Amino acid sequence: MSLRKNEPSMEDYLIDLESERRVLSSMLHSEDACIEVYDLLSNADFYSPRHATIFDLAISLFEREIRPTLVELLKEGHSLGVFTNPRDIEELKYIVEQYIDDENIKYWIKRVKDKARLRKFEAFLKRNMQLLVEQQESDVEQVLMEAEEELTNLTALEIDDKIDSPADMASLGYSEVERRFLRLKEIRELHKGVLPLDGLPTGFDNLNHITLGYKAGDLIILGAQTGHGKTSFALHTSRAIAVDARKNLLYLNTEMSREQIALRWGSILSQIDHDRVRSGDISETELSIIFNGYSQLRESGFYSYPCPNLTPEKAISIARKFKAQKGIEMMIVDYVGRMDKLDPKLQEWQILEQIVKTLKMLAQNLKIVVMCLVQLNPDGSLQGAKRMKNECDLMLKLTPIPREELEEREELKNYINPNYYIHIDKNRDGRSGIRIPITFDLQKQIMGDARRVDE
Amino acid sequence: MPDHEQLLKKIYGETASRIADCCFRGELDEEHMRLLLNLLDLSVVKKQHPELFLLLQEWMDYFTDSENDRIIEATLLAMDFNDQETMPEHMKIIAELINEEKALQ
Repeated sequence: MSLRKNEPSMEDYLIDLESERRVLSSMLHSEDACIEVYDLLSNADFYSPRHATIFDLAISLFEREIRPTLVELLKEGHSLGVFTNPRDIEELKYIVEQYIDDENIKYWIKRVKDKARLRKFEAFLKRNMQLLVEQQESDVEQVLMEAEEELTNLTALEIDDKIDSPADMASLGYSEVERRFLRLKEIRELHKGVLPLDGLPTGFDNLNHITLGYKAGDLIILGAQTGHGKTSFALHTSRAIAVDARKNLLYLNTEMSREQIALRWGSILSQIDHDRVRSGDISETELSIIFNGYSQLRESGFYSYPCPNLTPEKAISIARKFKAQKGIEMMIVDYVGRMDKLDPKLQEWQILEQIVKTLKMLAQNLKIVVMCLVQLNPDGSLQGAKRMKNECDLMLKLTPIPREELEEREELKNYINPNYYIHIDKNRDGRSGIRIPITFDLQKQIMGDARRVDE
Repeated sequence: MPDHEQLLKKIYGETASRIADCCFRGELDEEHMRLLLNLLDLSVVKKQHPELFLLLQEWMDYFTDSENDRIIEATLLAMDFNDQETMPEHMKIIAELINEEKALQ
């Protein structure tokens, strides 16, 4: 059957160079577009090899935190010998002119992606047609089964989806048990019984012991009442991970200014009262101690992003950017109650539940730890959404130890000045219902395990 | 997008490709191409260091291809336009050289 005049040709179905140019152009005009494209497309999705090369150049610049403008692309392409004649430059200029607004980027990405999938489908058809012609005596059932499997991969499954075969599951299970066996052996022989961490340090020995650290893909919720140390806990965690362990961490703060966060660090790292640091009421020696403290921060992996108008979408976008460019291993959102609500029709609990679900997905997709801070009611329940607890892997509550409990509970007398509990309300990967006594120095804004009297 | 912004993008695209094209045709060497592209990005995209352009304008008013002029050119070619810490230092050197050149004339 021949195609009638004006009917789209097969090429029109399979190739859409305009969409490819628009996606590339958008990357050259906007960082948001780069973030969007980074996770959704690969160079194999582009039909034109030249477009694929431009895509690679732009992504490589973006990963190095250089905004991929036309100029940067020209410089990069020139150094790598990618652009070899004036026609390459003409084409690049033409691409730059196909500018689209950020709001439309998803539409054009989908078009590029869809055409790439159609081309894979065409290749599948061609391959199977050839198979039929060449191997006419093959087992029909076998041929159809293999074709069906391949087609399923093209239609039902996303690229990242993976179905575990029985063999995959058996190998995974054995390697996990073997890993744990070797770890326990190491604990007994090398670490003299002290458990090494499976994830990032929590900043508290007792919490490390119970959780074995915060693990990639985990969502951790930390709840506290207003004025009871949410931000201090976040910065204590940041200190353990970004300053002491030198891992990269992103801290999103919806309430405090960058100056306030920077001042808090001065107090945390110097152990000098926060009020004195804030008012400048310090001696010259203390100023030098504070300077040393900030030197530690300078060398750390702490990235701060004060963001008063944070939305879940913005949090995703920022996290993707920092994962791509800085390789962050953890993100802390301080705090979810202050995130902007996009749909005023939804109830408060519905919105909070949605935010937490989004953050859990983000943790799993980016393979990072996400910690979000939430407000607790005076009775210790979660403000806004009790169902948030269902979504998280670890739920911690920071509560002051009541005075009567300090006087009456014998066990607390074994500790020096405990004044707060970290209550492990939920722990998907271990024991829960445990209260860990800690010492929280409000003046210095520092926290730590409550030391035992006999230590 | 407002018209003037579209026009600016068009001029930016045209200028960048013209500079790169000149390099391909051998009318411009690579380091001069890089300098011109960096200046273009600085003025249109990054919109940083407007004082540098005032300096360049002033330099051109007194340009005689003297020893100082060649040092200014070498300083510009060596500048790392992505390094915000060294940019002011380089601009200070250029300003001093221009002043020296003015005094000589």
